[in-house]
Amino acid sequence: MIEKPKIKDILDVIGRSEHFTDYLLLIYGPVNQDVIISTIRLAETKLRLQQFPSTLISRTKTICAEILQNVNKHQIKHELYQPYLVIGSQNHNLYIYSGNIISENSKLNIESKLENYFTVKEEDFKEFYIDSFKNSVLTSEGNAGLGLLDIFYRSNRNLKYNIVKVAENLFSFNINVELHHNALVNT
Amino acid sequence: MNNLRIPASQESPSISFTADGIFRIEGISLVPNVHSFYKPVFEWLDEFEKNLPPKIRIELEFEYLNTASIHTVVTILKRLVAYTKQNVDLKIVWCYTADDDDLLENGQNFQNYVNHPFEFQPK
Repeated sequence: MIEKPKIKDILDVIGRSEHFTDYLLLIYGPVNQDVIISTIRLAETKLRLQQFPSTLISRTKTICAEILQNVNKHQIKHELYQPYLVIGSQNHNLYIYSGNIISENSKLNIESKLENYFTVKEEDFKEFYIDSFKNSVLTSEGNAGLGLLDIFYRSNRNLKYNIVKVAENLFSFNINVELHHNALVNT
Repeated sequence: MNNLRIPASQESPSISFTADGIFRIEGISLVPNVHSFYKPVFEWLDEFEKNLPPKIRIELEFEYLNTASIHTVVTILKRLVAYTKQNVDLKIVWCYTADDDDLLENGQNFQNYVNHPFEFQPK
């Protein structure tokens, strides 16, 4: 998580990334629906400019949409920590990093879901994904609760995360997603 | 009955449903509350199903959609599939950008969700 809203801190965090060298997009600060729409449009423009394949662009857009909509729904205002989303690339692979502050209830919910997804065998995951959508129920607020599953699925399970306590009942949730160019051959 | 026409916005698709069974949904669906956005569709279908035409053709051309929208569009499609029990000939056409396997896979997943064959139309 990035502490203090200074561009230097953000760049330091990105600079420490061992995965990517080309930085395509960085969003920092509170998120709303307009920010989500604008971010996805900008990401698409940047990726098309760099001639990424359409499939990778579509996946990136969908994953960013789900990440940012989750941030929008669950973000907790904090004077030191702000949500961020970074898209980077290296060797034609794409990397999406994001982080935001969540409550303890959200932490438990996220951990439960992700730990469950990691237990499903790779060869069974497509069926698990389809069944989850078939059996899902929308809440009265219109949430399907399938955003993390969709991110996990579209990244071919290349998802890492950590949740770190930053204050009483407040946690920093960081998620790193990798989209491998080579994996598209098998889809 | 009147046709249903909802124009696209930066976060929602255009929707065109005609009383003679020509339906089309196109664009992005990233609406924050799917219940309120898609409510007119379900209300329109309530009237439409009182006098079903012999054929229904629905074309879907999504750029991307969030999981809540997937759930809701699938619910709409399941409702159309249910009309086939009343001898309605239903054709579901999934349009996608020819080199975009992710959009094609979305359509294949939709086909799985609703248990009705799709026609896949690359553009």
